[in-house]
Amino acid sequence: MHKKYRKYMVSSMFLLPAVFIFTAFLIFPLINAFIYSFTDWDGIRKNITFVGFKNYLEFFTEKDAIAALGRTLLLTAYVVVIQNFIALFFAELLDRNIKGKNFFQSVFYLPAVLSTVVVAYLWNFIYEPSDGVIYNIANALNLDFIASVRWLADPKIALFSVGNVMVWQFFGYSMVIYIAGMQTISESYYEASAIDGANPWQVFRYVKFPLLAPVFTINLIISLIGALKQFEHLFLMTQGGPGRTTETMTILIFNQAFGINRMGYGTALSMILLAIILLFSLLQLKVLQGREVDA
Amino acid sequence: MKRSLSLLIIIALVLVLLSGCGAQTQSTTEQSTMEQNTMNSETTITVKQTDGMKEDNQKEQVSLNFINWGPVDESIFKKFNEKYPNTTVNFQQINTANYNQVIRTRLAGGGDLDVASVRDETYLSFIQSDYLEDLTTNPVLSYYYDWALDQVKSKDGNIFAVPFGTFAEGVWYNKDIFKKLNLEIPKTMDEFVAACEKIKNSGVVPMLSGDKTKWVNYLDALGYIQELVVKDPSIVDKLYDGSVKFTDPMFIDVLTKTKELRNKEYIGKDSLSMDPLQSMQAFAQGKCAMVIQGAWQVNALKDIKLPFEIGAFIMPLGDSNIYTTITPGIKVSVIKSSKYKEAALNFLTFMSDKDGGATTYYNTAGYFSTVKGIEVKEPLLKLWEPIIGNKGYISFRLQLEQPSQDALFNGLQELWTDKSIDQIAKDIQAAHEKALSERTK
Repeated sequence: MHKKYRKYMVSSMFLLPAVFIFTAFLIFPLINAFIYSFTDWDGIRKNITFVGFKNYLEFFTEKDAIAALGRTLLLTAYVVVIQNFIALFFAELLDRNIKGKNFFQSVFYLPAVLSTVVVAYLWNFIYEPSDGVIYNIANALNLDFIASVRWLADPKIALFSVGNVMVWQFFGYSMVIYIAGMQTISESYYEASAIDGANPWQVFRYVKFPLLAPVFTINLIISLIGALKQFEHLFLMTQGGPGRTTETMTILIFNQAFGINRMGYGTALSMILLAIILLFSLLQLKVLQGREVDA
Repeated sequence: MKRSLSLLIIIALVLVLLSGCGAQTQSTTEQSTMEQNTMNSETTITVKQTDGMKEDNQKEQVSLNFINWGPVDESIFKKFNEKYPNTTVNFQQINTANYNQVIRTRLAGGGDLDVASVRDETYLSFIQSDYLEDLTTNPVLSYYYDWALDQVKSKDGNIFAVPFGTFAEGVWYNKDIFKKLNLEIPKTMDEFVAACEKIKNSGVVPMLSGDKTKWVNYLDALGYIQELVVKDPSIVDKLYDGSVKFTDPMFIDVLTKTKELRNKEYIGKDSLSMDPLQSMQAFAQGKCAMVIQGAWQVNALKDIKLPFEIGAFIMPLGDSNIYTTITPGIKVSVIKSSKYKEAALNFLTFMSDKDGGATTYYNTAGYFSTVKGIEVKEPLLKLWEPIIGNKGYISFRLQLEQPSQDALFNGLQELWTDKSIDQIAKDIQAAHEKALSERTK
């Protein structure tokens, strides 16, 4: 008993630094933010007034906030679907014994390790309407309908233009996870399906994809959480414009808290976003885990 | 033995953790270093004093923290050190877009700031929150022109900052294009619009604007909105007492006419993809004939070999171009909670003295001098001399407080979308009213 207690104490002591960091940099700020969300603090004044649920109620009555939530969900749906589709497509292509497989896997993964700031500035340049890469290529090929597109300035497509950058940066990350999942599938399943006369599409649909359910769940949750809380691409590429058409929850939080000195309301918005992310993650986990099949 | 080893490892881990949280000690080796953090667009200059330490090592060594969004030449700090060997200045130039967030965080955190520039939209709130030292009776004010001091007075007439430089909003223009098309400098908005039409018909983009950055959308409306200030200098006060609203016909007119400038492509469509620096670069490359901007853009142009002759003119406001749109420059304050107030005031005085740092500052930073007796030497800034020296009114936007300002900028950017002008005006007014209700608490 004494030995067990000592063992427990020693392992606890090893965990102490991590727990300390976790508490200091996550739990404490979270509790602090939660408290500030019930105040009217402007980030400057020394006097803070408790306002109860006013900030939370304001979210549900403020049309700009609801619109920001709508854009967040739209961007998330777009990014999650496209990113996972492309990742699965390339994972399927690269899960074969082809020449240059490792090279392509590295190349597709590379954007995921780049700094988001670098990616945003790079794509600002690519998207530039009168001197950017897309413009120059389209111009050289006489594709005026592409050359004339204002990728980040057209209110109808700006949000999706930023979404495309997010997909470009992170599809490789999802692809690598799918490839890892595919490699855990036993060959015997493919052999059995070959004996049954299944074509490649049938093999993918009825054998591979169901067995990929665990990694599918992981990828969907990671991409969902990432898209819901995406900030850097939007801030650096459009700053929420043109005319608020790319103002998602994260941009709204930043603008309210730091742009117009409404720190209390901004933190309330961030708590709401946290709750939404938790809710979606839990729902997704519950739905998707039901279809997981052991390979 | 195993237990002792485990304990030793634990203690080592905890010590490493605590050392990371500890205060940093400063090196005593002398060097002038500039570290560029491109991720955050901050430039940190730490200038450390050298041989004077030998004589004055009995007195307290002081390190002043000074932040600004504009550049300050390094030689100024070296000269200050020669005069005050015990004082070093730790200067950080912080990107304009992030500046308000950084200063608010550092002030609210009870931090380490001694001297800081304060932007117009936060000046009053910082005064109300008691962050700034009252300089009303400080002798440093004697270095400045009275008209410059008027720009830094609070509502009750007290002064909490010195005015480091001043600007004007106006138009940079390509003289070669104007000569080629036989255009005169427009004296009214009608003449301005007619000039834009002629330029457009010649195949040149009349104007580009950095409208990707929200506040710059205001400059597209400058000729119409600033006219309201000329007609009624108390218009912003009336907005705040509720007797005038953003939904009134005069504002609807401003929004309508601004949208027309864009619909007719007098302001190029590419403007929405550009920030202010990109629009100035496009102008410098000859891609447009004019840019509505301000004298502060001297820094963006002064090191470029322009392929054309450049000029500047007063933006016509309605039926005349008599009045300049004044933009107060950088307000520099001593932070009330500073531990080194005396040293901070010495630095402020040094920067205000033309025999101290002021002459170098105004000739390197690209701002118009508010300090008496300093001559403008920068040729591009000289173009603005007649504009800034002219009578005028403070820019409408700078008379608004931040939340209302932000609402106006958002609305003006939304003019690029399909949203109706009436709805935009209603949204601006609603945001303004919300800001008013929170202001009165």
